[in-house]
Amino acid sequence: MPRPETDEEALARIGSGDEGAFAWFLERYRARVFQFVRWILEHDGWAEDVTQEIFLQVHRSAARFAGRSSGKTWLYGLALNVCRNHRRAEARSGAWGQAVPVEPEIEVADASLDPLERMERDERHALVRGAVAALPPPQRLVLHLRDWEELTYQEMADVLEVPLGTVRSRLHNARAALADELEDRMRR
Amino acid sequence: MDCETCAALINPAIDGELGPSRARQVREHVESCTACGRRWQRLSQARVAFASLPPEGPSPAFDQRVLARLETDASRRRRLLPAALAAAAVLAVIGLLSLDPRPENAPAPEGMPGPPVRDASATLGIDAGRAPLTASDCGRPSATSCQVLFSPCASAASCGPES
Repeated sequence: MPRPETDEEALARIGSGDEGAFAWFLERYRARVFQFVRWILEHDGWAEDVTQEIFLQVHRSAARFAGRSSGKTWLYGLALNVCRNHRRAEARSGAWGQAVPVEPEIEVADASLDPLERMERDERHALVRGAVAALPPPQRLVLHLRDWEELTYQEMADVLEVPLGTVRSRLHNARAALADELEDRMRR
Repeated sequence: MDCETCAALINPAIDGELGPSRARQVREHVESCTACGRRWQRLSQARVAFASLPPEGPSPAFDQRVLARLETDASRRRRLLPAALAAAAVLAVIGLLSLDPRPENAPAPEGMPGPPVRDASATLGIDAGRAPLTASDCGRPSATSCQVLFSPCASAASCGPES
C-alpha cells in the first residue's frame, strides 16, 4: 500500500486495519505528541506511558473518526483527554511523581553544520527551551498548537474547548511572556 | 487605527487570521508607529524562536513498545473470542428454550392448564373498567369469537350463529 498523503486518509486506513498507515502516523506525530504531553504533565516519567496510551487510542478509535474536524484537531483533542484522565487517575491514587524518568531521544547531529554552528544552534535551542519551560502549561499548549501544528485559532479553540477570545488572549500572553523570558535570558 | 486596537490584532495578523483589509490596516499602523513596530517585532521573534525548536522525542524503543502493546491487545482479543462466542451461543440456546413452542390459544393437552387468557383490552386499547360490551360493540359474527376477543361479553348469548 502507498503511504498515506494526509492525516485524514491515514486515520481512515488505520480504522480499516492498515498497520502501515498506523506506522506512518506514529512516525509523523510521535515526537510532537510526546512533547505536547510533556508540556502538560511537567513530569517526564509519565510522558512516555501517556504518549503510548494516546497512540493506542488512536489505533482503537480511528474507525470512529468521522472527518468532521481535521485529523490533527482530532488527534490533539484525544491527546488532551488522555492527559486529563491521567492527571485525574494520578490525583486519586496519589502516585504522582513516582514514575522513573525516561531519557528522551537524543537530537541527531546535523552533518551539514560545522561544530561551531552546531554548538551555537544547541545553545540557542537550550535557551529557548528554558524560556518555554518557564511558561505555564496553558501558554505552552497554545504555542505548540499554533507554531508547530499551525492550527487555526478556531481549531485551537475546538481542541482546548475554550472560547475563541480565550485562544487569542492566551496566545498573545504566551508570545509576550516568551519574548520577555528570552530577553531576560539573553541579558544574563 | 489606534495603538490599543493594533496591539490586539498583531498576533492574528502575524498568524494570517485577519481579512486582507484589516491586515493591511495593522501593517500600515505598525510601519508608522515605533511602539507597535517594536511589539510586532517581539511577538514575531517569539513565534520564530518557538517554531524553530525541535521537539524532544520519546526513547528510541517507543515504537516497539507501542507495537508490542497492540499485539498483546490483539492476541488477548483472539484468545477471548472463542469464549465470547461460546457464551453468546449458550445465551441464545437458553433464550430459545425459554420460548413456549405452542401457539398462544392452542388447547392445552389433557390434564394441563390452558394458556393464560390475555387481556384483549390491553392490546386493543379498550378500557377494561367500562360497562360490559355487547355483541353490537364487537361486531364479531359469533359468540365464540366474541368471548375470545372481549371476554366477558355480557351479550354473548345474543351473538349470531357461527358463519
